[in-house]
Amino acid sequence: MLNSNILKAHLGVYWRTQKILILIFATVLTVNLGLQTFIITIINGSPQIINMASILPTLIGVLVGMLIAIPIIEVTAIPYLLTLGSRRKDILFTATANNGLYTIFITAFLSLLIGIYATGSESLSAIYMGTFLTDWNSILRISIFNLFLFFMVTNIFFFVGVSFQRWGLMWGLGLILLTLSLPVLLLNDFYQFYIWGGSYVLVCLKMIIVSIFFLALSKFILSKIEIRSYRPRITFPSFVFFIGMLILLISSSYLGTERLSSNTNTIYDSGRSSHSEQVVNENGFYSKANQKLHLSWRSQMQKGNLTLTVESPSGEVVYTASGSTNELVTIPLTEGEWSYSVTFDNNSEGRYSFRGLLK
Amino acid sequence: MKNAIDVNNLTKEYRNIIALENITISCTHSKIYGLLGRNGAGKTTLMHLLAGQLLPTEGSINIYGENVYENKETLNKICYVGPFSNINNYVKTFRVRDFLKTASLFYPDWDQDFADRLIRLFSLDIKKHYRNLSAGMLSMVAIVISLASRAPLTLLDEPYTGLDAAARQEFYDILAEDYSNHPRTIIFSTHLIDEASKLFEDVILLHQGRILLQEPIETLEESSFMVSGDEEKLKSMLSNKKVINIEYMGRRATYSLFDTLSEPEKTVLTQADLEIRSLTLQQLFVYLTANKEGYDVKF
Repeated sequence: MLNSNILKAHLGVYWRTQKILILIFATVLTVNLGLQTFIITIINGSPQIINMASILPTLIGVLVGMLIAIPIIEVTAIPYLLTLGSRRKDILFTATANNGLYTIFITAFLSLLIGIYATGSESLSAIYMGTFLTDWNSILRISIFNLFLFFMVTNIFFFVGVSFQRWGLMWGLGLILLTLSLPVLLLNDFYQFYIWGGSYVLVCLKMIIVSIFFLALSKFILSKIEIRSYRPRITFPSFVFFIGMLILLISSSYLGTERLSSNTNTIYDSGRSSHSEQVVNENGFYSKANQKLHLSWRSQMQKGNLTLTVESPSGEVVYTASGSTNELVTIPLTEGEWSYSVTFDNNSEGRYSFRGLLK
Repeated sequence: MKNAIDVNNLTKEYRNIIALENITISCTHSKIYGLLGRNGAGKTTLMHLLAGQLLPTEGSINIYGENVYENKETLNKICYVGPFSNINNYVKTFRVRDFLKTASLFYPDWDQDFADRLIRLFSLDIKKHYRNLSAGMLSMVAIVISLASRAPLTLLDEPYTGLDAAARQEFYDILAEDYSNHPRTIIFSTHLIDEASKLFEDVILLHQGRILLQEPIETLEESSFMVSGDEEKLKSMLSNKKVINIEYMGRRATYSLFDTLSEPEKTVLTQADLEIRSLTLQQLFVYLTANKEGYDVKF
């Protein structure tokens, strides 16, 4: 078993290796966090200012970048740790512990940012995995999900880094392409889960399995790793592997986007109005027998009113919503041509988003 | 007590290149070994293997009777220090104090007082960043780590790259002093053979991935000579000896021998007007590892 001295020593190396990176990221995050909090508490205000100040998508990019950078930097410490007499399995253990700590830190920080955004934003609320970001209560599920997701991401990138260290450039690049192929192929499933959510327990379980799988692979590769530098030379087998993986990624991209674009089970409709007269947007979809419509309906009005009406093939109104609304509803369907309409009243100003999944 | 090192039939291949071939050596505890060999002979590879940083292609390595691979107890007993600038395995974001702090966490017998003394001796600025350190300063850091670690098996691979003559002498002195106070097994690889040879108790000579010899330094001193004089006399009187080098100067020649000379033999040679001198370790190394065409070195 790993003793506490070794754990402390390894984490010390990781900290000394990564402290500049941490400092930069922490500064970026703190400044943004401070800015958003300031706007919400002091300016207390306008959705436009909140939107301008919020660089949430950029920050998510920064955080994901950090999740990639941290394990890659850890890998650069492997030769040094071997020099100091570390066992390969100890290196993996402490790297995993280190990644776990960072994952918790990043998840907490992102949750804080999302929470502030959700509280402060009065515009059309964002939706993540079947959760409307309207207040702090919507954060818990997302945080738990992110924790497993981030841990999986760091483990995958640790594996990729170890592969580079062990086999060199071409094999490393090939493995990156292989690793990207699967999520690209499952783009449609990710999209559906991102909007409408699903079984969190099952998805988290899958992510744990993937994490363990990549940890086991990293352990296997690390068990054979040596201190010498693996030259980034291109050998014939590594080149063939890289080309093979490139073809696989291109095929996955094609199939994944094809599945996404040809999916007739999803509906996306959005619009805005700032007209003085009434505007009616009408659309329809065909349902097979025993299907359900999982509907994410979001509307935000600055002025006037808006009404959503969903009608069955027989003309019966089965669902209506009006005003500023965030709802996730499931509507049982009968076979036939269904229709929905969005009506903006006179002198109304606002926007809406209609995302439907037929399942 | 168990041997510090037992290596049996060790072979290491990198792709199709054989770096070490069928090496068998034993090293007892509390001795300083000089590991000598030309560039590419396999010294660094052997040291990395002894430290568990490389994996053998074939053969076995036991340190104090235990397998070294992934063995925490054994790895704790080993300190390997290589030339900082040549091996790209040091963390570039570190300062000197980071290297020393890290090393202190890893070696259970770390002596901080001794480390502080060495830092003062070498006038090392512990706040200096890795990228601002000269080759000599990096070597000083490596030397501090290797000595202060007090590891029972210390592997010094070209420890003083970039150090000036005065600093090297300081290193030899401090190593000799520390070794007498804290005996341990030290494997010392160097190209400055004559300088370091006073420290060696045994010599291991590697050549083209194989062990050429492993002998106590006294044995080598007693069996390596230069005999100079008339070439015809040398040829006839040394025909039964292992000659490893011949240099000609007109009718005179100098034969370098890697063989014993008894006292009566020395007397006979001296009476024949031949001059006998001892070979230095460096000369012996050069002659044994020279690649000469048409000359068969027998030993």
